[in-house]
Amino acid sequence: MNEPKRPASDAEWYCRKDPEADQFYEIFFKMCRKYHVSWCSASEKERLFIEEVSRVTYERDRATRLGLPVDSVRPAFAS
Amino acid sequence: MEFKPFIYNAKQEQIPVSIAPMTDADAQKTISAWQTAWTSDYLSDLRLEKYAAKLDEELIALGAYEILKNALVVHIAYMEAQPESNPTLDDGNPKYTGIGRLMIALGIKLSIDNGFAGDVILEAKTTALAKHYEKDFGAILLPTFQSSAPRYLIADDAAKQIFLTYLSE
Repeated sequence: MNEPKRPASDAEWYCRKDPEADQFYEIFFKMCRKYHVSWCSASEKERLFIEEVSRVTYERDRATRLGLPVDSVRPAFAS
Repeated sequence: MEFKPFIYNAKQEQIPVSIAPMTDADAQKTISAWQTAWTSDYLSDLRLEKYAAKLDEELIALGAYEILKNALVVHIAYMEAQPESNPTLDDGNPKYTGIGRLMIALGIKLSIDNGFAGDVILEAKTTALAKHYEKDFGAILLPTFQSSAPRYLIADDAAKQIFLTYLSE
């Protein structure tokens, strides 16, 4: 008789590495510290600010690393 | 005051447990019945610090933690309870409860001990898990990076409340 099949492990999903995501979150936490923003108690406006500063900083960093023009990065709060 | 980890039994009584770095013998115990074989390649990444919660010789839970020195947070990469107390396997009748909170508290302790003031992050694979983190642990959603999974931050008052659960004389 076969053993009951055990559910698939989630370990692969949780332990996968995404270096770009790690880089983005590293910048995000630096921006929180730089602007003295506690994410848990930040206002919506503060969160939008930190999120956008982090995006622009990350995208400029990535462009530099890849040898792409940094002016290809969408400016902060531009539509 | 000391950090005194515990879980609950079926009668909702507090049961003290010990926490120690995971050993090869602990990992071997997971091969046949646990949801995850902790000997797997996914968990062999040297960046992960792995800890075991035990009740005497009974393996209760394992957790894998990543110390992110640049972000100044501890990433709770993966945690899993024994099959008898794993919601995916226990048919709604867990032998012990309070295991997830304990393993998060351990992450908070590692964060404090590494100078990160208790900040931890973790991911939620499912919407139900995300709601559980928000409701039961005070986790706050971080900005989403492209199409990556939602990441949550437990910090400040939420981290303090979880940690205080295990502080006693």
